[in-house]
Amino acid sequence: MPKVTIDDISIEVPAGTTILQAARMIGENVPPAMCYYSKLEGSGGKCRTCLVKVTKGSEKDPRPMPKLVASCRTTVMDGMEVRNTTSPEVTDARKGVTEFLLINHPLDCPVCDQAGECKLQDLSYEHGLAKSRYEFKRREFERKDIGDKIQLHMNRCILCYRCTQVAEQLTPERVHGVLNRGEVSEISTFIEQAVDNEFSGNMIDVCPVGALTDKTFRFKSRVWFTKPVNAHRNCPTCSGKVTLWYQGEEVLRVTGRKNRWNEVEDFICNECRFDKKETKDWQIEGPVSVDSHSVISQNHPKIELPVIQKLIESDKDSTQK
Amino acid sequence: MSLIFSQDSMAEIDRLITHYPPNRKKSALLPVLHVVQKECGWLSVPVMDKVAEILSIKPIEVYEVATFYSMYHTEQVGKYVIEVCHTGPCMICGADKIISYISDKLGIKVGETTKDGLFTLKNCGVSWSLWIRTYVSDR
Amino acid sequence: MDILNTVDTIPLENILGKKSPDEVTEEVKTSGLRGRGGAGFPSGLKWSFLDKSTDKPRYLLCNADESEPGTFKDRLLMEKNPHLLIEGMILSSYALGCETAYIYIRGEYMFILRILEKAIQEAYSKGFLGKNIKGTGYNLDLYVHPGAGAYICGEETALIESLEGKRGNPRIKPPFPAVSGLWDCPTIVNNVETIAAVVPILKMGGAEYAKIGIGRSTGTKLISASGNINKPGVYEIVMGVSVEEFIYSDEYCGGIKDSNDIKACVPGGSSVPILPKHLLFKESTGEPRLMTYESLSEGGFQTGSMLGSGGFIVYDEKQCIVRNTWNFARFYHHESCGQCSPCREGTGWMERVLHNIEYGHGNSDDIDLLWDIQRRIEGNTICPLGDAAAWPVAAAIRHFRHEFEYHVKYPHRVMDADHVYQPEMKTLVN
Repeated sequence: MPKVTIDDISIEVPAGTTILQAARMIGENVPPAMCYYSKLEGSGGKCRTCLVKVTKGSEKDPRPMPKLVASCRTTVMDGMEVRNTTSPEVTDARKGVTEFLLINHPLDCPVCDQAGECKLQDLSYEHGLAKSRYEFKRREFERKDIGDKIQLHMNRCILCYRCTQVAEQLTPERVHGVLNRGEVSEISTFIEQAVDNEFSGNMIDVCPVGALTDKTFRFKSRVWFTKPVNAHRNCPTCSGKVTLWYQGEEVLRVTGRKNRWNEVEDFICNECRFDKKETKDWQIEGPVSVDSHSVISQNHPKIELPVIQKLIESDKDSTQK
Repeated sequence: MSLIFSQDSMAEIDRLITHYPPNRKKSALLPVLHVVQKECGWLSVPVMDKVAEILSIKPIEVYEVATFYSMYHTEQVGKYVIEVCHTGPCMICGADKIISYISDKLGIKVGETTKDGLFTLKNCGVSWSLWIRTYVSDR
Repeated sequence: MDILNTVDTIPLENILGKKSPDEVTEEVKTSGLRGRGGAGFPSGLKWSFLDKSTDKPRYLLCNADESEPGTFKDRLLMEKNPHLLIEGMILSSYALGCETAYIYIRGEYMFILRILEKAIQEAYSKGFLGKNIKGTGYNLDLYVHPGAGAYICGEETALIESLEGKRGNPRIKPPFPAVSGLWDCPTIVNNVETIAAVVPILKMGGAEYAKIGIGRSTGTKLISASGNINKPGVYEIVMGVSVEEFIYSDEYCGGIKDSNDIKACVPGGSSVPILPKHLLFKESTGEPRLMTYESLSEGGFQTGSMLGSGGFIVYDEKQCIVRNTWNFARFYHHESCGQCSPCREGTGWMERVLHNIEYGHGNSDDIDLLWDIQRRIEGNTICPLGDAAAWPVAAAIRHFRHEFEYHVKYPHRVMDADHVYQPEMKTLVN
């Protein structure tokens, strides 16, 4: 098994593992990923937030790679040495990418349903500038409903392509895609058309920002006022394993179960997501463990540190298997 | 009523499809769009949907491509499309003056079409000083 | 020298069947031929990367998507001598073991596509293409595929995507096309001029060809000369001609128009760094600068540039560098595919900042801001378009910073489009 060293921590990984996956196995200093999604084929490489420096290519060919590489799409070689948080060059590039992603972003977090679980928010918090250097008009698109349950707010989109990959890989007929070119590219159906199939709701879960939001949850509450609880039901279409988001006794929304990399464990069907919003529809499993860095954790009783450590360990085991 | 392309266009489309392996019909998309745009003047939704049907692909795959490439018109244009290059080498030899002359003469700005539907003025970022494309049919 | 402008070629049957494909590749390696599309990568070496271990078909694609502002050499070659390209395609395909090959030509060259298709028909009817070419047992089908107005499709993986009927979004590498390219099969993409050069190489032998030119810049190169010169056009030069001779001799550009003084030159197409007069004719060592890959890039980007695709744009003293830089930035903004964030967002940002400076709305922080933007695009994008957008901006600021400062300091003067910065105005900035 190839051995890779990331920020001075070594790990042996199966052949074919990417640098990002290896970093996730280590569990610290993990590069941020705005477009890569392990469950979607062909995802990644586009947002450039996960750029890292390869200081040693491999045992066989120790030359460093000339440019920073996208860790999500670069395969580990035996003896490879990688710098992520320990490279000023990487930190600077990531700052640059964060700034690029934000110059046309509306920064409307106060009215955005994604706030609190938005990856762009996390990225800006860690790598963004306090003040924008962009002095021009930001690009604007009309808000659109694509289907009766999903709203597309293109102004917020970072063009990660994940939603098109969901449509391509999970649904029988893709009707939306990326139109136009360059800066004015947009996610669209081109003609007035509903994205209507039983797995379309997964586009909401994979969207890293607030571009695709659940209309049944729209403006109901801030996510940090809701409590996530894992639950399941016998569903003929999907695994039926979901997270319910409660406020008081009321289920405000249903999502897929996300792991600590913000990826769903199973894609769920629209019936589970949009139509089953009563406690009686579900078998409750228990509260979701929430990372103490997340604002959502504010409503959660503090879990002691050793417990988190254990959870991380078990997570690591399951990824390695 | 479903849209039908002319016999000549269909013969050309059939010829183009043979350039690619049978399971790779989608590859003919760019050349086929040129053929139908020549016939129809621009790529309306029914035209693109028909192309999708001919090549056995999803309509969105055609929309994605048609909006990416600058030579395809997804909105109606004039019978004659005048494109003037304004990149570096042409600019230093006076391209801006040519553009403003045509613009004054036709009374339209870049990107607009004359009221009689005859001329559209566009910029093209290519190594042509000036270039006029004609669309015969104005369907 | 006229080795790409000749109809005097070799009988194909002297090569196909007589020489093995590997021997043909070997000749190309010996010739020292380097990619003529811009990167200058050794062509024989590129060919040797082609994965021959699979049963999948292999493809040769000719990159005729020539879209770099200032470059128009392939156009002339295909227009005037289409059969040379076709013969080059046959020989190269034979060397690579391809039975199908495509010429991807930019959509704007539709009339050349017709010329090529006619020439291909002629080749088929004479038995140079199709099944069992000239009784050698070798089969090859050759097709022309038009693009539709996208500079990015000159990037080899975007070209492949486009040929597959998709948006011209460059692929993330690896895998490289030589392993997995068109329809996931091993694929080689070469520029028109590169493929055409294979014909004289096989005609005279790789070793003879290598004697033309200087050092690692072997052979002849087509240069598209434009800008403020007396004789714009395409010239075939033996590599090693000095830049000074190329600009001033009557055989080539014939000097600067209206006997003006030269201010700067972009020697290899819009994406390569601009060179000011004092770095153009001499290398940093004081040696004369030559039209070769090595000499033009001597000193790195601090004092050098690149031969690139040979788009040679000359600027006289009346030209405004800020305006020109803005013009190039506008082009790259328009042509960015929009897939990766630094290029999608950064190219538009650079254009807007440059537009402000050029039209008298810039402020003193803008120059450093521009530097910062280009620095964070360069090297961080999926494909080289990001670099191509960043380099001209970087070079213009590096060599003509005083001109940018003048624009920022005297906005009311630069608002007048006819007002051009003159060297003596440098004192006004400091």
